[in-house]
Amino acid sequence: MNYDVVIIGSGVAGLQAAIHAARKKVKVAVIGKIEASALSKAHIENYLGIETSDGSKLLETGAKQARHYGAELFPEEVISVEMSEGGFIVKTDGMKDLACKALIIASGISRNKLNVEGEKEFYGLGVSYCANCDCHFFKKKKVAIVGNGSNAAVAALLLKDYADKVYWVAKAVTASKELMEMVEVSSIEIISPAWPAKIVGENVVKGIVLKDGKVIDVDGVFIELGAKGAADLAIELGIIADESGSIKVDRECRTETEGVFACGDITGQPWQMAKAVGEGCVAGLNAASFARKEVE
Amino acid sequence: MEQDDELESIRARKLNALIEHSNKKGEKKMAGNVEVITDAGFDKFIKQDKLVVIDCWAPWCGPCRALAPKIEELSVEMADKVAFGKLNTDENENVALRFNISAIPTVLIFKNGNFVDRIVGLRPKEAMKAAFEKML
Ligand SMILES: Cc1cc2nc3c(=O)[nH]c(=O)nc-3n(C[C@H](O)[C@H](O)[C@H](O)COP(=O)(O)OP(=O)(O)OC[C@H]3O[C@@H](n4cnc5c(N)ncnc54)[C@H](O)[C@@H]3O)c2cc1C
Repeated sequence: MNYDVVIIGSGVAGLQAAIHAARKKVKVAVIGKIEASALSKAHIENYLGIETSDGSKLLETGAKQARHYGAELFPEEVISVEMSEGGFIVKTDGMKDLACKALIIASGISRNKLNVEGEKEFYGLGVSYCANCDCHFFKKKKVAIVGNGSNAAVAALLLKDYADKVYWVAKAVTASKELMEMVEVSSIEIISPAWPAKIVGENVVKGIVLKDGKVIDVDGVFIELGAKGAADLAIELGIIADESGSIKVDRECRTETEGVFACGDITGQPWQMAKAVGEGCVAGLNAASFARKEVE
Repeated sequence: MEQDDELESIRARKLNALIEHSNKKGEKKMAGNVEVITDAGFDKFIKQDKLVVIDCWAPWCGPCRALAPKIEELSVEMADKVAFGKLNTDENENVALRFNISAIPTVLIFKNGNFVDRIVGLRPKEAMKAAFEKML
């Protein structure tokens, strides 16, 4: 599938970017689950012209507007991005490949900590937040992946090629059916419904104690909550997030990689809807003109 | 076996793309006083009078790439007190095993040849500096 502009994230910033880009008559795709936006749980009282509103209502209306102007919305998650000839390829957990000339990262902030005993203590001694970075330390070992969604499934599928045994601990598995088909025919063992109560060890990780008291012996714990974080996606594009996970942009919402724009919470504080909308507008307009120039 | 080959080729492809990309952007060549350390040269390197800091990294690790320029800057700022090295954990598995490294970037700190502390993950430059200074 070919697009001029692909937007990662269907929160406030992504939807506003979609509206502005689509109104410039370029072909736009937005990928993301609306209910995963930070706004969907918020009650807004400080946005100009709206006295009070439910975040989810605003998002629904925004999605309708984006569609009205011609943007296509895919309620999926992006699992990888790569640079290609003349643009980018975005891969989703629905196994779609979307090619585009310009890319907008509008994936919000990700909170990836599990907040259980042992997590901090054993970070780097068995606990990891980056399957891509750290899989090679677990050759022939036993690992557990913690998380519910596609991101956790992707990590489990990667780790199974390194580790001898992969457990996947989930409250409820919510990964895409395409990924689940791969998981089901693999050696990955799903433990669900379950969730860690603590991570235990001695110098290094030795296991996870689940909330029901059951213990799983593992050498590694990969924490993969939520969708794949923007910092991990950005690195595939040669963009390096700072230590807070934010992506630097200029006033035009351009990142350091040509053709890649970013907007919303991902570019840093203030984490507010007004700022996300403003940046979404700028990123949408600029991504559309970038894509159009490529054609001329 | 086939899967291993495929993984390797994906890695190689990603790495090449990254390298090509950094070259295109005219990224600065490595600056500073960071010595490349291998399994073989490791023990000799940590036995110095100065505090020794070793940045353990791998090419496909994003946070490692973000940390590298900070370490380079610190290697200039702290040159008289601290010796800085970097070790590719993929090519040098012995050190990784010996120090139970399981997530990168990991920065190992040594004093008089003895391991004293580790810092895991990407941190602000000033926080790193403060951590090293505390050890002096
Ligand atoms: C409880 C709460 C109350 C708040 N109250 C206010 C308030 O009163 N006023 C105010 O201005 N702001 C408020 N905020 C902040 C506001 O919600 C955010 O600033 C705003 O939502 C940021 O928009 P965004 O588009 O950058 O990110 P989000 O709205 O969070 O959207 C990010 C989107 O990216 C998607 N995504 C992430 N990763 C991927 C991936 N790998 N693939 C595909 N999609 C992905 C997510 O699914 C999500 O849809 C509140 C936030 C919270 C949590």
